[in-house]
Amino acid sequence: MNIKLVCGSETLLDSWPGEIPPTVEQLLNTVKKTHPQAAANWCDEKGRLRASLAVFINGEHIRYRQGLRTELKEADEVYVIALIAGG
Amino acid sequence: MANGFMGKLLNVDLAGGRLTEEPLDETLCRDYVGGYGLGARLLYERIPKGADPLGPQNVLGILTGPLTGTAAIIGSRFVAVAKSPKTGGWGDANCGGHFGPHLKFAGFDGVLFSGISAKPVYLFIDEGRAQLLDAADLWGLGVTALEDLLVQRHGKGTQVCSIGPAGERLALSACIMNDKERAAGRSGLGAVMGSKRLKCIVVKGKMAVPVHDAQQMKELRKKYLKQATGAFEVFNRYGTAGITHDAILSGDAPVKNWGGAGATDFPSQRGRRISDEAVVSLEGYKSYGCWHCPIACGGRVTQTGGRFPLTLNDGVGHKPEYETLAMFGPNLLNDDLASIVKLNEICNNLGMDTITVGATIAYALECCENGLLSRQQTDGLDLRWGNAEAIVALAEKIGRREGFGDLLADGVWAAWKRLGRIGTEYAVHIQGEEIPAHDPKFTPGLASTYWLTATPGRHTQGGELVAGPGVAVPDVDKYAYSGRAEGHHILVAAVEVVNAAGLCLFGYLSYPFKAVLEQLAAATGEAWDMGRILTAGTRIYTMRHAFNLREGLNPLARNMPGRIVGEPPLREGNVKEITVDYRMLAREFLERLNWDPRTTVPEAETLEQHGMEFLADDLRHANVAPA
Repeated sequence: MNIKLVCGSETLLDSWPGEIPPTVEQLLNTVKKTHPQAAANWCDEKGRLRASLAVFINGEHIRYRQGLRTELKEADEVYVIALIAGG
Repeated sequence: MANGFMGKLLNVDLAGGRLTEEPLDETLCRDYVGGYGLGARLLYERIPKGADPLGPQNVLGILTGPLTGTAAIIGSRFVAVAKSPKTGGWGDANCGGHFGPHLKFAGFDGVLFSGISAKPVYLFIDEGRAQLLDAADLWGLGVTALEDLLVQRHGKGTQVCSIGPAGERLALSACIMNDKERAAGRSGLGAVMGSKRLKCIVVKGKMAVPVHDAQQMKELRKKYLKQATGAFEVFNRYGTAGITHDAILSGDAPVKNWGGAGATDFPSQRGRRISDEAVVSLEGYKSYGCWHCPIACGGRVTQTGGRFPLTLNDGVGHKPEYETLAMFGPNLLNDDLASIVKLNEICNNLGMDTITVGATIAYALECCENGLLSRQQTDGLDLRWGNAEAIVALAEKIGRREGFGDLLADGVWAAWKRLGRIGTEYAVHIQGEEIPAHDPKFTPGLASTYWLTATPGRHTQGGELVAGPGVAVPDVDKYAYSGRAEGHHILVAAVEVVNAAGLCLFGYLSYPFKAVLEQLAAATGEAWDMGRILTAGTRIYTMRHAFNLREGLNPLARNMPGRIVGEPPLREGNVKEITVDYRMLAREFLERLNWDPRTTVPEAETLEQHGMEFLADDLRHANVAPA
């Protein structure tokens, strides 16, 4: 499926294998395994996705959908913010 | 002498031209760590209640911490402290570069300036010998030419901190500069320095900073340099410019003077033009670091052509960082990166805080948009959102206090008053301090930080934005307003100690927090654990706050700009429909600190617990009205 996951300036996944669309959580957990370094800041000490992780679908924060349980669809672009601090 | 310190302060009476050395009080160093902790404790006694911030009774301190100039990661910082002319309360501003370590190498942990000089002067410290010199030929110079001239005059190894023309003209937007582009930006302390007719401090020296265990310090540095984590990668690649796009997308950055939303007013493609790759792709980009910094978040760029050529240093300027990019970018609906590079040059050279100038220009633009200011009033400048030429021209006028720029030179609050209190909603500040580019609607815990801390509107005082790797705080839902006080307290205390120790917050964000504890222990020879962090950090936080209480200032009586807390909530973007319950956040935090919920005066047993009984009488008699 044509589903992308971008974090900062890096595209971590440009298509989703399989025909059943994943939830945001499934997508993130998959990419966490393939790109552990990029995803290092996504999880707490116990390896769970942080509730505060800033994730967007086509530019909209997932809080305005069903959060991590949001089901993705064809052509969705998921964007994860790597870091908000500083300046 | 306490380990980590040179063991002495220099007192400079500018009225009488007298310089006296003062041994550093070891007990105060142990209790207040150093930097602004020590500064708040000393200035509480040396600045009388009610002193005019721009008058002779104010004392301006330039202080370092026990880790400044040591092998610690990253001991590059110093702090300026004084009563703030912007807020009328406690003022401080922290800065990196090379000046802080070299102040210690020149022999002093800090300098305290009192009185007002009859004529412009500068302080020169060379290997422990200090003298006041005439600055008649320096007065009026921009920061760039001044540093070049002083390095030429005093030779290799010279380091300078100074004010530009804005500080000389007592603009409250003025900061204290060093390394041509590093700014002790907030609290209006450049104006305090200008009021004393002190143009700059020049230091030279090669003295070693005595630490408890130098070998251990070296080994810790080696060990922790291999453990870079957290923010390291982004800061190393881009500096803070690396977060700009994401901050706009997420709702963290101000858009259109905090009244707009990234999604509709400054969409992703515009954000990309002033963020990460775009910034480090500027012509001639080369990164550099502060003293002994492994992150090297700074950068130089060349801009000799186009609409906004740089006019200093043969067209070589500094890469703008996040606050500058955000305040002059989405905040003004401006995606012209070249103009922001130019604005950075103007602010650095004239010595102005980019947060203050960006916020004040935004106020003026919105007043113009709504017909509250005419083009005649703005000296003919076409002040429209995103009109980069007009914005650049206005910044220059602000720094030189020319025409309409003179009205804006003291920041948003002063401008609002001078212009007849027009556009109250557009004047976004807390007690005179403009809000940095991190939105509490995105990070709710910042609302109470901005509201309560001794220097209001400060993002580097331990709000939840700033959690170092390994600093454990309770996991609370981001938008739950109850139950955050413990986490807030831990983060405030950690950051108070990091700042006071002379460490850079970017090191705190990029290395395990254990490094801070172990480096403090190796440098001072004292035991450091999280318990002591909490105690020492709370003591520093309380000391800075006590300065304000004695002035009768209750943070609960401060204004809170509706826009930054969603009153009313935004209808678009990624922080839409959010209203931050900052009063609940504040109430629980005060309860946690055991401060009075209406006056914010610490309870007697709390003062006793922190060895601060000496404050009890003053605070009992302080005229703090309950809010």
